[in-house]
Amino acid sequence: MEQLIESICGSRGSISELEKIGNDPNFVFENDPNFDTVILFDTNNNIINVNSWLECANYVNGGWVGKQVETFNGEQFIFFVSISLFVIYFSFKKLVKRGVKQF
Amino acid sequence: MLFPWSIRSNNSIIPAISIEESTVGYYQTNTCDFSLQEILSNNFNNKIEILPDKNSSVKCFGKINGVDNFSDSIKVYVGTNMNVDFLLQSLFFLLLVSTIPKSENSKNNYLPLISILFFCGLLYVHLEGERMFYEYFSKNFNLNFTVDNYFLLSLFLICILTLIIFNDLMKDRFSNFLNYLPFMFLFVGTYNTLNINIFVLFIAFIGFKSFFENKYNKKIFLVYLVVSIIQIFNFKESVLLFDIDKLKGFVNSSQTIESLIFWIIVYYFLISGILYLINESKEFFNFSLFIKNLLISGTIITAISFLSALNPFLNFITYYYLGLNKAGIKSFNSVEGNTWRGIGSSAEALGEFYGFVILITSLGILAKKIKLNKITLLLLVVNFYGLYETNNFAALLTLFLLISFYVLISLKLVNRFSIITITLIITVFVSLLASTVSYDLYSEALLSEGYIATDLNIELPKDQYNNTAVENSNFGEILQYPKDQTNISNSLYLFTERYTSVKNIKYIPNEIAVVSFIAKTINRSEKWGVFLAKYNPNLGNFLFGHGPNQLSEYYLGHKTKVNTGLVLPHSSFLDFLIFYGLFGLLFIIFIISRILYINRKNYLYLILNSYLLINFIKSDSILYVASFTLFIFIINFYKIENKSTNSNE
Repeated sequence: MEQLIESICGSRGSISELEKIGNDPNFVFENDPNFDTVILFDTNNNIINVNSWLECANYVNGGWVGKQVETFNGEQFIFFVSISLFVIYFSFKKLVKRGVKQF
Repeated sequence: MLFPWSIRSNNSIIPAISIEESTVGYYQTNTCDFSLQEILSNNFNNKIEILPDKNSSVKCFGKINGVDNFSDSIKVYVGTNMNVDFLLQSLFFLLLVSTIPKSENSKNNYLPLISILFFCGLLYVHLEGERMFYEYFSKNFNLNFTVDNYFLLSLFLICILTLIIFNDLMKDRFSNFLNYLPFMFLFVGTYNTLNINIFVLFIAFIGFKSFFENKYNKKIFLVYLVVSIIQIFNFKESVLLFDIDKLKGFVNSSQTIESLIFWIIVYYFLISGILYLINESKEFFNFSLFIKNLLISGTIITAISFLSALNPFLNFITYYYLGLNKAGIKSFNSVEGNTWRGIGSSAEALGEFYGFVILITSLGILAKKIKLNKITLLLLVVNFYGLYETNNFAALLTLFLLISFYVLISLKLVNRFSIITITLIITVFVSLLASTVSYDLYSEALLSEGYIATDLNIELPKDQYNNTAVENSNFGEILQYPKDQTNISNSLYLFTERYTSVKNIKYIPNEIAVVSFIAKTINRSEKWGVFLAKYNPNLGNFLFGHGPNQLSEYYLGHKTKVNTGLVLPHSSFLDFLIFYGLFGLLFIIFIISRILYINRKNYLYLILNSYLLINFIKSDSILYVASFTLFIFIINFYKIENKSTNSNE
């Protein structure tokens, strides 16, 4: 987790700082003007912009990630492409046969 | 062809820039955003190396999935995916097959759907058997039979589609297929992320037809079946992953029963397929066209080899679409001791191919009075150049000797007197050679190399010069240790026993010494020594082999100092010994000898086979699909020759 936080949020802070937050629901994150805004995503591809290392680390610790969760099923796509090719091929064959017969 | 490599990521608006040391990070943080075609325009002449990232998702296919800075170059990884590769490469090779001219005389060769389903079922057996290999290349590798397993469903569907289209294409092209066999050396046909070669699949599919039509040799089939059953019963599964490297598509990566069964079936149908093609289309074989296609194939191989060395994009695209086992060499010269191999997997195999092209062309001119025009003459020159670049002296020497022999035969200068004279000359030459070198050194070289490669479990004592028994070639001393303590392989132990035996006949050289002398002379003592160190079969494996294309147990089953990289036996006969054991090797030698003897008056046939067999002594040609197919074709070439002779009569 430490490595993941570092890779997404950078190394400006320390993991021990997360203890400050604890379970305080009223904890307010202060913006850090020196911190470049990072966009995080959850499993439903909701987006959040975080403006400090601590805020970033907190959300990453909670499961948010730096990239959108993949929703595209590539293998399914290839499957339907293959079916399409099947249909195209057999249609083409029938057309050619009909064309030959008519000729 | 280029469209799949041009698809950009929808979400990305950042531009592709030149790939240099300073911009590596830019690409590392924007993975799967840029297509290969996008970076082409900014980096066409850059010194980068483009490699396939075989573990990519479908979405990342054709896009830059990683960039790393190494001391000698910047490596750019392009996403590739198993399902996409299977579809794209299959369609491309089907397109190639469709370019074979239709033959008016083709018979109706339609196979029922059940055969297609059988072969696609075999594909499943293959995937299951080599699961360990495939899981490495596909995050989504899943062979569960569920309706939402699109990974398996798409592979199965692509397999069915490919074989249906192939079946349709072959209806009109069957009779002409043999004439275009030479192009298998150019379009190798191995999939990027699958350990399958498409031509193995196609020809085995044709072979299944011969089985279906009851046109197969039942005696051979029974023998093969019995041997296969013995191999299966003698087989020991283990968790071994063999690095297939340049043998991709025609070797088993795993040591599982399913993978063994797959290769047993496919190997049989592959050979059956070639035999069926010959038997059913021999009257349509055109020798001139075959030679022309060999020359064209050789020339294009040379040209593409140079182009792919010039440019990393061409190198990658030619690797992918030609279905190469490994990417072409990225230099015009030999690199780090490796001879120039162009786009071939092995310089030796490529050199043999060039040599064969030159040989058959020469024999075509001498025997069949084929005339070469200016263009074919130029193609021949290019093939000569290719042979020169591969530096295959053995192929060149064999070529020269065999063509000279044929000229002497055709001028009727070969009689008993000349044969005796030539034999005397060769004997004198060998004796002179033997006297100029240290016979002791040459006779011990094989065992010495074997022990160097052996990971002895014991610490050998050193003499006053700090040399061990291995360094002093005192092999008898090593035998004094109990065998189970030394980790010496069975074959090396046997050879050592024979070499140090006191039962040698006086004035007759020891047979191990003779083999070692020959090995040293033809520069094979190191490789055959490694073979001895590794070859540790039990009795069953020694007699009947491990199975077709099974190298994992041989290579990794017995621990030696040579267990990484790929150090092959460098002899097709030794490869065959591993696959089919002593029984298989003697059987095939008997069959080949019998066929050669029956056709001994057919000098063209004899010489072509002699060339291949002589080269088989020191190269692993049967491990490559194209060379293997060519050999099966040439050994059966007498059927075509006899058909021509009968037609002329």
